Amino acid sequence: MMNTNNHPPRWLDRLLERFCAPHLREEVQGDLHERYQLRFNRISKTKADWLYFRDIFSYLRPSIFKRRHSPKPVLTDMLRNYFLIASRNLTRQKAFSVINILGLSVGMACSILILLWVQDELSYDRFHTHADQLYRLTSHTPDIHAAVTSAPTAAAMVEKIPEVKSAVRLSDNTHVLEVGERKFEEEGIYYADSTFFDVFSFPLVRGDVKTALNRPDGILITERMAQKYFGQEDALGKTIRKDNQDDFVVTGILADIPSTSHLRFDFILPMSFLARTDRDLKENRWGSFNFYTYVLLDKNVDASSLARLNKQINNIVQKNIKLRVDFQLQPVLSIHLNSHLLRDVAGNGNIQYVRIFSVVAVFILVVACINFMNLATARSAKRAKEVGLRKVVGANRFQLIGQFLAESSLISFLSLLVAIVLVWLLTPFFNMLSDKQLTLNFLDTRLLLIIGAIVLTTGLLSGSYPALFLSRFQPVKVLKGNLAVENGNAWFRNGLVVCQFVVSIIMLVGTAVVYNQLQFIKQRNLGFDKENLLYVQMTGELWNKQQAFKNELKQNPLTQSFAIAQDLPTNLGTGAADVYWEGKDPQSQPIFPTMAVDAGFIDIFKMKILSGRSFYADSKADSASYIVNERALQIMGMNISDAVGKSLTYGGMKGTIIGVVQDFNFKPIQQSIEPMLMHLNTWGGKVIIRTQPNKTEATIQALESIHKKLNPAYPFTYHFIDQDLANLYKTENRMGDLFNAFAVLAIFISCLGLYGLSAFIAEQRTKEIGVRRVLGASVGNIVYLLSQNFTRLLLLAMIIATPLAWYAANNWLEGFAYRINIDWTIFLISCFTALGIAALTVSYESIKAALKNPVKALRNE
Amino acid sequence: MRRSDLGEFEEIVLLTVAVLTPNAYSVVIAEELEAQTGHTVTTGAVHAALQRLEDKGLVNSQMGEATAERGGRRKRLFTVTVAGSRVLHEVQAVRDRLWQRILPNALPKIDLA
Repeated sequence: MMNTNNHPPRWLDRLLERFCAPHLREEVQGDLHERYQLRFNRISKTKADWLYFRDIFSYLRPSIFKRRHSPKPVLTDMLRNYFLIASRNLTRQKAFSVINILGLSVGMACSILILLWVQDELSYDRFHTHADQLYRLTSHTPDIHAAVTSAPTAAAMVEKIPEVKSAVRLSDNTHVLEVGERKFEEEGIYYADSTFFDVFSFPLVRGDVKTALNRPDGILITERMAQKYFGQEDALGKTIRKDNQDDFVVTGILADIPSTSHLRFDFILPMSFLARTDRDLKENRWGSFNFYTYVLLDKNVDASSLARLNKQINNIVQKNIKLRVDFQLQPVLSIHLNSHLLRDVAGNGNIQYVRIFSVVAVFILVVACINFMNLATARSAKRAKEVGLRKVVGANRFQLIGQFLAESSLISFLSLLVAIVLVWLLTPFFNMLSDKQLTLNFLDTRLLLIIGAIVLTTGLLSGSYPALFLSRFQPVKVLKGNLAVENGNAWFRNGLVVCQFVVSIIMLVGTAVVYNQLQFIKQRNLGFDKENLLYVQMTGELWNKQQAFKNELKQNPLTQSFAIAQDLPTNLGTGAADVYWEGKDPQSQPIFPTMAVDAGFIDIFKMKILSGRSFYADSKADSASYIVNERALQIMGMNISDAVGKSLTYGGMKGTIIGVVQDFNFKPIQQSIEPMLMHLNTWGGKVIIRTQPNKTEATIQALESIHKKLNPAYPFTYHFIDQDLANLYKTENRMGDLFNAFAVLAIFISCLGLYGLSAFIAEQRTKEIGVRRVLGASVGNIVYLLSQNFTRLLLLAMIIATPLAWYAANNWLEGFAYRINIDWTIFLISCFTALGIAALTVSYESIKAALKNPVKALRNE
Repeated sequence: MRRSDLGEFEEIVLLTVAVLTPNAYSVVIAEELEAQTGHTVTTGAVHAALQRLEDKGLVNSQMGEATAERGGRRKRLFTVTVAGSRVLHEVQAVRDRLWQRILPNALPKIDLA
């Protein structure tokens, strides 16, 4: 009955097989075929085919498609097996797992902290609405690069250059502010033009942005200050008294200034108020550089048109002054990290440190990854059987690679969890070191993405070699039990250990160099004695009562050695171009920093007069006398022997040089000593007192009582010169501390890995050690045997690390005009520290292995 | 199980299962219905109805023997369950009662011959 002719169309059969669930296939197909036969016999083939077609389609319904749950293994079962094996491996070798996860999580925690820090450093000033259109005008001469410009520049730019949409001038000041009983000396005060809010986007919590700076007696305060002066009361409309005489009305309350603003202030006063008294503003002086000028440029201005704008600005200013100064617009976004100008705002960061720490973060992570790779490949023998068996039952290489990568990603993810806890614990400490308020914000998608990327890269990177290496095993060989793969593997492992120690040694050298340079800064002879010097700002009535004040000071033996000067040799911000002497090249325009000092100044600071004399006390005759430093002599082409008595003109005042002072540092020692001109102080400033050793407290009390008597309206505050100097290097110190911390961690992670590796090798060679011991090897022999390989690796690491470290350290030191020389002792010490730490790490396991009773090692086979 | 869940086609398939037992399976049921109604009845429609009836517990099934026409595949044989039998009786009772209440001359005459 059955023949090929009366078979239904095959393609329809195949279609049915495709969609029909397997458990229904038999009855359905049977039914269809039977009916086809019936129809074939009854009618015609064509008709039967057609009806067969219709029948097939009558089966198109969900109850036919739906597959019954199949008991066959599927993907999830295999994944479950992977997880099971991974967790078994983790728990079976707890020590290795702890080393792996601890190393990775410490590395990740470091990287995340550094990431937070770098992100914070890079985010400065981005909160302004037009951040990329904001620029600051800076002025440059060959000697001096300053952040300040003259008062009339801003208005002229807005008027003449259409691309300049708006400009605002800022001038920082210190004043005493007072509300009722509350009276403080405040440093964060800026005078600003009414265009302040056109340029910047500091949010105003209360008050109207449009009118806040319109009245000359208005003041803007931050919420912080509103709290400080007015407590819970509403500050808006209240009065604040400045310097005991001027009353200001609070016209607006600013939100606290974000920590990522390069401008830091608590008060904004109207420039129109300053214009009543300030000579620069009243006389529109072009030659006096005392104002920060910020501009908002049109959004179409790009880098190329910026050069044209600079030229236009230079043309405008050059018409009004004789000085040769080059003006440049500096993007506000680059100020925090790239601006180190004269009179720059305090607290700027340094792009170099951002780069250094980014590299450090990567280094530490790599060191941690290397641990993982090393331990995983070292232990590969333990998993060779597993790989062999998996291959025998049908796993292909890619499945195995996938398995091992997934395993390392899992470990990397576990480490992340530990790392997050670590970061959470360490953040307060890190914030203290770095002087920031960083928090791990899980709502920050960018941060999460980067952390995710770190985890994934760590997982893949650390798993890559073990995965490729292990998956290559040939099942026949590994199952037979002989693993002849050790050689290439050992090479790779040794390479990684060398890498780790190169990083560690570089970090050690870095730490040593930074430490030495910071010590050098602290101990350097600045050309004056910075110890035991304290100073008080002469506020209020002190200058008017100067005679009485001086008498009071003289009467007390504690305060009798004092000087009054306008400037301090800490971070001097002055500079004069109008210095002339006989034979000066009219083309040259050296800038002379100047200091206005009195007769006692040079003595008080214990500076050294090389020739001539200091100013005479109360001498009117010295009003046209100048003291210069050695560097100035060089610039002017004079000798110490003949300089005294020569004529010199400064500020239009012709006078004579009366003395030469030995060079002393008056700026941070990143900068070399410039020519210095000292003239007699005819105005207030600061009174500096040299206290007798161990009598500082008493001196301060004496000073305070004098201050109270003569200047009761002002709060008494004092500062120490050596503290001011130390503050100049705050960033460097902070970086030094951070660098120390990270160097310690890098070495810790390296040693963790080394420890794991040495433990593994000691374990692997248990039998060998046992045999050697039986045959008479001493403990010393064994330890030597186990350590010599590591020692060789370390020596290699030293050879590689030394030039790299030298290059990096030199690069950093280049930023200092006065710096230490890197000598070989630093390298020697660093290398031997690394060697010592490594030796200690390795010897623990080696000695343990050597001391083991050989009977135990050889007992079982 | 409510009776209203039994569709007209399901009812007639159920009835045919009862008629053809012990040899009731999709093909013969479909052929029988075709023969009785004169319309084409696809195997799939019958199979679907049988699946539903089985889900509702009105029929039982087990695999029967294989034949050459089926390419050596076995057939699924259906029998009516107790519940199915009750449903059939109820349906019949309802119809009988209704038929009996039809007044003579209420229906137009049809020539049945």
